[in-house]
Amino acid sequence: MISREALLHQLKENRDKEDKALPLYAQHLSNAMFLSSALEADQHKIKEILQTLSEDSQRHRQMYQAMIDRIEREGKDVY
Amino acid sequence: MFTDQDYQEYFEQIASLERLMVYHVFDLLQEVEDPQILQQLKTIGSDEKKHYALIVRVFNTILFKSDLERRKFIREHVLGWVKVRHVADGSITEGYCVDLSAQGVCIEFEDDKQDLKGDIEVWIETFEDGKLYHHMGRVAWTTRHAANQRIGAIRFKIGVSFAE
Repeated sequence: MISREALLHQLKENRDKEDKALPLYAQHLSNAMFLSSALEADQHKIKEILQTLSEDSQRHRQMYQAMIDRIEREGKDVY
Repeated sequence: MFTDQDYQEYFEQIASLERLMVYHVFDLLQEVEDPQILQQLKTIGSDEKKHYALIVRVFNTILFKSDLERRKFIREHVLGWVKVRHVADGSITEGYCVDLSAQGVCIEFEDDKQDLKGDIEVWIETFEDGKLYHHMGRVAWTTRHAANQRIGAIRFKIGVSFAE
């Protein structure tokens, strides 16, 4: 079992990590020189991967925020 | 113009952040009992493991094929918890497994472990299936990632060569 405070702290940290990750995934995507030396198929694959990471990160951020909102609303001490 | 080193640093930053997310989710999964939160965390944990596997694929199959070919031993990018006993003074510290081979293991820590040198005893438990490993070894190298520190990711790694 984990206390409300400890769980909230870790969920907020995890949410903040997702926020930090988003600009990192997008950092080079609009730069035409990025991966220009790689094969076109590989360029496409890598950009797709970065796009997937970005979309999932946004979804995770929302999931973390929903958990945080729920815990802050409730009166439970442990989870 | 992007150099190979630029790509390596960029994708290593992403890999480091993804690993940290995996670690923190699995740490929470050990403690949380609320079924709804557990389910949400399991979904996120599963996604984060997939993300890390995708980045490893970028490294191994797309960007740096020749490095993989040069490696003496195949390394499994197996993530898990690690407990380390420093033989010299008996102190115990905890970290995370980055990759594992027949020859050794790479362990990372959220804090500096500059004084972790020489002979150590290592216990590893994998996230994927709870497999347990136990080895005696020796710290072969240490490294600190300033760039990872800036993005709040893991910043200290050691490489361990197994004794047996």
